[in-house]
Amino acid sequence: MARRRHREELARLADEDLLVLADRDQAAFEALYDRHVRVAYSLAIRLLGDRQAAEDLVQEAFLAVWRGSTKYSQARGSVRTWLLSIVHHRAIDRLRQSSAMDRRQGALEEEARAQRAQDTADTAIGRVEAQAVRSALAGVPSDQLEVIRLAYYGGLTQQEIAEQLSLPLGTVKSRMRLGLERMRRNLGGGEVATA
Amino acid sequence: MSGHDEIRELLAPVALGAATPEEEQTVEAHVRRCDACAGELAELRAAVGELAVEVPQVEPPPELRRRVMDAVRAEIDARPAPLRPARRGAFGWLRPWPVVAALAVAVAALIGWNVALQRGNGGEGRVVAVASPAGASGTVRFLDDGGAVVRVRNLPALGPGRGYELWTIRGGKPRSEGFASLGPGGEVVVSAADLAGASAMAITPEPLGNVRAPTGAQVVVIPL
Repeated sequence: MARRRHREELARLADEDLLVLADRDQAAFEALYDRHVRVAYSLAIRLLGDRQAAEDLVQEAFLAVWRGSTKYSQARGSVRTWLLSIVHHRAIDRLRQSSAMDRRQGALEEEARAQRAQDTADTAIGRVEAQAVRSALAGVPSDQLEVIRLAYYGGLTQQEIAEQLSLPLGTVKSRMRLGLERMRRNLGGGEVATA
Repeated sequence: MSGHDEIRELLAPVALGAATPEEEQTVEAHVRRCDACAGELAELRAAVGELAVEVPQVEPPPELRRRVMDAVRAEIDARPAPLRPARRGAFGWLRPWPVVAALAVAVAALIGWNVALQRGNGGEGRVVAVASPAGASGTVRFLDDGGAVVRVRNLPALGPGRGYELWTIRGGKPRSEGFASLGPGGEVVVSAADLAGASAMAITPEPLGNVRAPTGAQVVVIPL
């Protein structure tokens, strides 16, 4: 009974409060896990294309959050942003370990394929959130979105994108910046609220 | 040395993970000193994080949850003591206490659960919930005059002539704040007159009249 009540109390807490508790209270960490595992796992699968590798990566990322919970600073962004940036960072590291050549050849094709799949696979789960993000992206010019997607999903560096698209490096940089700033404004300057 | 404008150009690539490690280091070093860029980078990262919502969502397997929680438990078990050195700042004061059977300490989880008291019983101040792994739970009401009222339920029953004492800790030294006998539901309500300078509050079982120093193991610890 006491445990159940405790869980109900935890469910009402903000992520940042759960993280403060996570070091001493595993139920708090479980609550945090349950809130964010789906988006973390989906991102890992999208980046790595492999369920087993995605599971390993998500485990690693949640452990990194748990270990770093006492050092977390809200100034760096929300817990969710932090978790997703760990997943992204490590996935990109793994992608970069594979042959750079393969990656460059594959990134553009993969982007086109994934974009088609994404347009049709509008899963019921997270539809509202996904729509909010998509409408934010809809206002971003396609040339800016292209460099953002190649970087984020393809793991290409700005130099690689410049080579791939035969663009000057400065153009790639400014497209990234303008695109992200537009996204940020469209999202209301902050994050999409999660259910 | 890169100038401020050059650094700003790098914020988006860094947020996207598309910068070189050197560029990333340059930016990280800069944002430690520059609040404006730190704020902008945090916002760009938040926008980037939302790209993750755009991908088709896949339900993770239940085994993954087990794996992660098992890994966390394994790390907890591998800790040399229940109170890690990293926690020294918050719990260093435990050490000077005699009879601290560290294993018996049930550290209360201080829950940042701010209840808007205007809706409550006409009280004042801020209320936070506390819960200990041993099953005790309750609230701390921080009063506007600098004091606090601690109400905890489900505390273990004690023998005759014994009750629970509330202590405040300053510079590692405990000071008695109040004593209460156990009421129905294992509940005690004790108050501290002034929390100024205190790093923590703790509740211990004590014989009636003991006010010099705690003798029992802390059943509830509330870091401040």
